Amino acid sequence: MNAPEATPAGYREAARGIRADPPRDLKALRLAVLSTFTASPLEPYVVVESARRGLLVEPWFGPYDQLEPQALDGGSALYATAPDVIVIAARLEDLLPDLCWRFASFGPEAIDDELARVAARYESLVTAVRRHSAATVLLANFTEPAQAPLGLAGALHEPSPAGVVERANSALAALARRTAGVYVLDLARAALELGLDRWNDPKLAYVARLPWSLAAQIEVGRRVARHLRALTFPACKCLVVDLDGTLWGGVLGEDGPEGIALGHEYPGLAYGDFQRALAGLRARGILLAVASKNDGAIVREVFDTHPDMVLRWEDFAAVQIHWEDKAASLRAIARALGIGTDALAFYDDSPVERDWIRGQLPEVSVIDVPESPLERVSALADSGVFDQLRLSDDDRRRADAYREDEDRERLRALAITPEDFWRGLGTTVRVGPLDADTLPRVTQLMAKTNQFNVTTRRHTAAEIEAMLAAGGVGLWLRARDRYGDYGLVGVALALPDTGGSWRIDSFLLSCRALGRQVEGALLAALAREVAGRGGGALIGEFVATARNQPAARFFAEHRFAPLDGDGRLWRLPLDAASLEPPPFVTLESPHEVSAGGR
Amino acid sequence: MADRVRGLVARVVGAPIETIDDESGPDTVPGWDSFSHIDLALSLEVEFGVSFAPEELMDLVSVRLIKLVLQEKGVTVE
Repeated sequence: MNAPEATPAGYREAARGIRADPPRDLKALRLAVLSTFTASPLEPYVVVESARRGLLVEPWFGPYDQLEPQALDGGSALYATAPDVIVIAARLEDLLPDLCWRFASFGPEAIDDELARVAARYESLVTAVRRHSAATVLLANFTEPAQAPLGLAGALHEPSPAGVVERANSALAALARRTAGVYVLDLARAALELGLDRWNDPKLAYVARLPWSLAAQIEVGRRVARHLRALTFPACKCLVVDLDGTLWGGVLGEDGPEGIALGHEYPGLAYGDFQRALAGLRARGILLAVASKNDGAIVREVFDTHPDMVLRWEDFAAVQIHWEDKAASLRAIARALGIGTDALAFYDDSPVERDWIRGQLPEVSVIDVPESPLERVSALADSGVFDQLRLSDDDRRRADAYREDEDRERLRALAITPEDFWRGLGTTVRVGPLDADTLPRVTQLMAKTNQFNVTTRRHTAAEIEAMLAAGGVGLWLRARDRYGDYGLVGVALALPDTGGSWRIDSFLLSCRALGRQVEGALLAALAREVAGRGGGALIGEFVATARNQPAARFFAEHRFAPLDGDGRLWRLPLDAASLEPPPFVTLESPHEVSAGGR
Repeated sequence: MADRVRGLVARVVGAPIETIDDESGPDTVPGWDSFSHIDLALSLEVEFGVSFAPEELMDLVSVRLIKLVLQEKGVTVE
């Protein structure tokens, strides 16, 4: 779906079209917005920009300036709408008008007090939402007030007005970091990108109590939609790029390694920055791959000898360079990396190749690549295909972990039997109870693990907390071996059922940790924990999806007996053997589980 | 221009363009409420490259009056 004309008329028309005849594949989501100003005119922008990202959103806007009345009262209209996501948006001018207008009359301590009041107010709002709802919360952060309260002197004043806004935003970020299911909607950055004068509209502020210009309203709609997309769909895991006209200008086969545009002047400088942007993605844990119709030897020469290449050959986790069909290349890349083709994003300057991939592999995220080299980096960011609301340490380590995987493959080749391989790996796993520290990573893993996932339930942090509070067992698993640390890669959740049996609600493992018997160790830890609570058996459930074949044989391979004919329900009696971790895997300090558990 | 103004009103409030005439306004067109009114003004500003003062927003209460205000701003009508 293309963007409509950038007017209320254009967006309202498009939003009506979406409501009247929603595209079948949109996922429905209920959104609620609480604000200190009029926000309901945002509706068409949120609806249309969300639909462009695969979501059918029906927004509800709270009454004007009713943050606490709606959030603190469990019987309020807010909760009656049963929202999946709640946006809380306030302006600093509304929360701290005196500070914003009479900044010079506040000393450092008075400013501290004002900021503490704002932080406490948000803390109570978030706590109340958590008590009454499982909704994800997006806290809009603050833009600088339109007027500089100290004039020219503001920048060198201590504290500076800009610094105070930054501190208020840091307080929101800290609250979001320590509360599962709470994220920041970065309007400060959005306003910066648009420019404060274009962001604010005094006429609308005074006439309609809506502080934002038309351009700002559309941008807020887009930002909210990007967040909703990132909350709902897993981010792409790998960016597949073309070479000629994408990583550098020109055609390598015709211009030769010396003739391609890369380096010191336009357009080579722009291509250099595109490569730097890819290096930045890799640092965030996104895998890079090449699909190019080219001569492999000469490409390798460019990587090895061209002085202005930013990316190294080793930066790419998979490479397909030949003259065959690119759809086949993308399938091969996905296979090599152990991910689905739906986890691939494709960036190619050729519209023909993009259309071909759209037709052949509709599940691949094909990025619209602008003709001009000037817009190549922003097109990557605007696509939102790698949007994640929070980066974990594990994300940052991932690109290197896949490198380590290649070394593991080398060892697998040297090893004689699988047992030799496993023994040589020296895999050690650590298991512990789910808690506030691990919940953000656990929900992230549940949201994006498709392959080794027996039920593929995408629980929110609040849902998991409710299960644990109701007596459930939740375990995380971290794994490392001689080649590296995988981080937190496994989750198991079980709930007491009838007759001393415990039902496994969720059991999943990141594909990075597959093939090393780690899943057996997680099962043993779960069995020990359940047995420790008096459980006599585990009931396993396999819910088949298009993607979770790798988990299909898990129960059968781990001594579960089928309870039905269709392979859905399984039972494992908790005898001595079921408590033993598999050979070659060291289960570290399993006693911590019970000791630290709830 | 007449059709462009009527067309914008129709697109903003979600009514068939045939139901909008020169006399149409907030009292006669369902959905022409205060929010639609602001959105209509913003759409008119983009469409005709003009800017309305807050006082003028209150005057845009029928297709005919919108055209008058636009004419005052030098937009050629008909």
